[in-house]
Amino acid sequence: MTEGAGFRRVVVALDASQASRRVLGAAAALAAREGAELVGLFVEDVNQLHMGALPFTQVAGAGPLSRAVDHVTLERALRRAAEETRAAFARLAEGKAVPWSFQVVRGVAAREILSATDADDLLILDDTALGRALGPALARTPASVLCLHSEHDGTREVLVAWRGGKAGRRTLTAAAIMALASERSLTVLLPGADKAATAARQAAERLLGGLDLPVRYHRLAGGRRGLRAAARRQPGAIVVWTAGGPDTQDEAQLRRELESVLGGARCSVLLVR
Amino acid sequence: MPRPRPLKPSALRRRVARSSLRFRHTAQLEDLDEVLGQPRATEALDFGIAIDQPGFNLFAYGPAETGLRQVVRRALDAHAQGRPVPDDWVYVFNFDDAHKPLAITLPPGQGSAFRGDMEQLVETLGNTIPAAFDSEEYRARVSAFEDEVKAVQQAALKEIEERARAQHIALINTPVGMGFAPVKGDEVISPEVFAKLPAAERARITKQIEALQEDLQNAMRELPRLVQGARDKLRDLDREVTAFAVGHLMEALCAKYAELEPVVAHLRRVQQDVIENAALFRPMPKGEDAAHMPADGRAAAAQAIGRYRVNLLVDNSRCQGAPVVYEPDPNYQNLVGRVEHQAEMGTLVADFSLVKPGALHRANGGYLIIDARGLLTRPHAWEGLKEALRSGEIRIESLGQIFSMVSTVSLEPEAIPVRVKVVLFGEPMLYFLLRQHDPDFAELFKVAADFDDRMPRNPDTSLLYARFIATQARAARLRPLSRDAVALVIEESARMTDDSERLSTLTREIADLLAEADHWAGRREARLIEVDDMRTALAARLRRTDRIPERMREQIERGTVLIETGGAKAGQINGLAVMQLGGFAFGKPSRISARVRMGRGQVIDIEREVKLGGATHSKGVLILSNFLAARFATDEPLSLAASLVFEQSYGGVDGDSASSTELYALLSALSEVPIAQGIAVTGSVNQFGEVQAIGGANEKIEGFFDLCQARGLTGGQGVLIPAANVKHLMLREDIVEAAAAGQFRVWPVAHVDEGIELLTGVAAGKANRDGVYPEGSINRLVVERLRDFAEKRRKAGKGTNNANGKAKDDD
Repeated sequence: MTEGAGFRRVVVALDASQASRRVLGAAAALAAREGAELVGLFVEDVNQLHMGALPFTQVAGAGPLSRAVDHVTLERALRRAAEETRAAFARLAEGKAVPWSFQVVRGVAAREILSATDADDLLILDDTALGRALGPALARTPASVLCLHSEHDGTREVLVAWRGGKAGRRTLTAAAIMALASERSLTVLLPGADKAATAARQAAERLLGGLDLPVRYHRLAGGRRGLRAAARRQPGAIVVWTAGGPDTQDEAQLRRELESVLGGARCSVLLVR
Repeated sequence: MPRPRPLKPSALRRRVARSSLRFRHTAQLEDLDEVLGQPRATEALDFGIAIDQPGFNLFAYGPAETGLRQVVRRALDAHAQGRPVPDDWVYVFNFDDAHKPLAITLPPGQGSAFRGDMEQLVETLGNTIPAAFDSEEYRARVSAFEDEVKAVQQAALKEIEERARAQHIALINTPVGMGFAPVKGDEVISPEVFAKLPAAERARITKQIEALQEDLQNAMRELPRLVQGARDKLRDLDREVTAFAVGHLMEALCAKYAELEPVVAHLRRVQQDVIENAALFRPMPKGEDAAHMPADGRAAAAQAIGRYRVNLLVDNSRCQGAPVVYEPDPNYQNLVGRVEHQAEMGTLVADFSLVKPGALHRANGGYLIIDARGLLTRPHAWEGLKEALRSGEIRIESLGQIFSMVSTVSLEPEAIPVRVKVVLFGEPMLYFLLRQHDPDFAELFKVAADFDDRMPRNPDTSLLYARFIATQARAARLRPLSRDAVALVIEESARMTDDSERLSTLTREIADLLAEADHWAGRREARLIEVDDMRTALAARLRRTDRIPERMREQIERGTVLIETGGAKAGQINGLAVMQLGGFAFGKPSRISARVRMGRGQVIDIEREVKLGGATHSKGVLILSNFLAARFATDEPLSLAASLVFEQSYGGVDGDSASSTELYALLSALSEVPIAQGIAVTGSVNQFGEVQAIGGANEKIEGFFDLCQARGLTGGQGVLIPAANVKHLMLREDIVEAAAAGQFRVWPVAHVDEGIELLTGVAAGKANRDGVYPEGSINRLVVERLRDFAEKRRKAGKGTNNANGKAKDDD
């Protein structure tokens, strides 16, 4: 394999939460590995600003008592968070020597992020605040999406279900890039049937040949249920999945598909389109 | 009185009888096992080393050139062979007080084994513990706990969030905390829209949000307690997993060291600590989490793991017998050990692994050799050594702690019991000073080994000396020496002592001479060191150091310094002095003159008057004055005023070896009989005119001989020496040869009367029963001159009385 997964940009979705910054390291490593531009997209959530402008608003934090908060305070807090995030982003990007840009937009997170990505992008985000906010809208983005689980610590392996095919090749390549970027091993889950498994393995070996990457092959019986079981056994792993075929472009169906794969598992997921 | 005869050449240098050296070269001789010429010192050493009582440490003193350190070392090595090997010592981490490392003793060799086992344990734990935590079972149980926490957290928030949503209110997370806001769809109602709502509606929303806010606040207060409970469960789980993972490892170690209770106790503490701190062995987070970790987090974990290791302080695994340690730099820390520090983030830190042993630790159970001068000149080293010997334990403290110069927290390693025999070596002066001024010294160093710088010379000791030479030559990989060369070394050894009946025990000097002769033998590619090689070495050595004596001779030869070596003059004589330049001594002729006149019995020592004369010299002049008075002025006052001076002497003069010389000059001045200038004189005199022995006879004779030889030997030249010094003569071979050829003489003199006869050629004269000396004799001439002075003085006294009505001093 000499070429990457074909991501032109790695777009990192960021907001004022600390959790959103956890993906920066993985994003920079992936961009460096893929030779893609690293784009930081910081969304100042307009809902937060509206809340601050309401006359009765109070917030509860670490302290024992709620306190009043206004629009100006929230605006300042968001600006400070954006600056801090930009600094961390720049440090990591320059550390990996990747071309980078960082922009701050104000609006509704899902809308702003979806409008900023296209088919050649890999969108990376944390699965907590932003991930929750974006979850239903993920199916609408044309980009591939890497949603990192809060337990992702870069020490777990990468799982990919592989049956061959053109779309599958991009998925396998993306999985290999992911494993190389995080210096982890790659586990390729093959079809349960003997013949199909042999063919799939040979195809995978051809595709991954020449990579300095430890690869393990497992037969996966039980289809998505089997994948779910594998994911459950590897909390913190990254499961790489091809985002539906032409018949699963429907948003509701994709969501169901995702839930069937990851339901109850504590994994990150990379949806490759 | 018969005039003394010049000494025979054989008396000028006592040769080694070849019959006492029954070998052709030193390769035929056996090694000398015993210490050369130090029976007293070796006896003391043997006693001091063998006695096993507190305070019986040794002080070996004597000239350094006797090689006493090597002698001490050999004696200790020999004794130590049969002694048991002492235990090893290790320092380990003190889990109760990290600043006070614990000392543990183990049988010899087990210290390094224990260290290796603990290294291995740490390495194994680095694999075992992560493996235990990497199991699916553990992960599943952790997940269950975390789910529990998360579920509690989420349940608390979710219930409120859902209640809010039912009222069209959203829970919004912001950088400054969580709050509630009314929504329409997914978007918060803007302030403008809210303001347009009916007042009742606005009031309702406000009230709902206040209630939700209060519920949220209550839920947030509960969260830390819930999280802590889950964390405690997780910690118990970690303990359980770690205990299972390390249990069998620790049991194996405890079984191995079951006989050593302190080791087992330490292992139990290690086990307990590992269980409490298993996180140290677990992998650090990677990725963004790692980037957010403190930069020194990994280093801190690695350092914390270091507390399970062992600092092997004393390793006697390779010892055979008791250790014998020589500390060449006996400063305080090198003796009692030290705690080193590492710079970390701009501060200095220390732990038990940085405790370093001192010589006392390494010598514990054996012997420690220290140079006394080095010990006494290094700050607090002597006090530190005494403290260890007095208390019987080694306590490692920095000088800063001792002098209260630093008050920061530092390590206080547990004191280690010490049982060591210390052997100091050094100059005698140090021994006597310590003995005199340090009350502890006598308590702690009860045995003195006194190394002599000389030994008797006889055929037996000469052969012994030959064997010593053979041993030295072999040890230094030098060529063997021929018999004649050995004989010359022995004679040279006697010359070193300035005594023909003694041999030098300054073995280092002899070893140097052998090496130098070997060099010359090598130049001519010889197999043996021959006597000519030895002569060349001696001549080269003299040449190397002879610049100043040569310059002095040159000044005399050129007439800058006035010394006559021929003719005769009254009141003028050649004295001889010895000058020391470092380890090199040489004789220097010096003219002494005396002038006399009428006076009141005073002999003025000009050197003393101008404070260039030492006390001993002044004593000599007073003695000769009294000899004069006692011999020549028993019936009437000594009406003499005389002055004595070392001509052209601008440095200090001391010693009484010139007192006979000065007396001869005075007798010559009084008698007006000239003294032969080709003869130089040395010797002190007592109040009876007896000539007494002096030091440096050989150098003095050689100094005058060199001058005479440079000017040309006439056959009339020579030196008067005290008869008591004849046994000390070990003159250079060229002087012996000159004497044999009748070109130079050495006369032994026992009384000044003998000396004055030799110097003037006129009889001294012996008084008859009436006390009258023979006509024409020196003594008669002296008596007459003094009588003349007395007569003149009487006359001068009368004249003065006539003029002034009272007596007046002549001077």
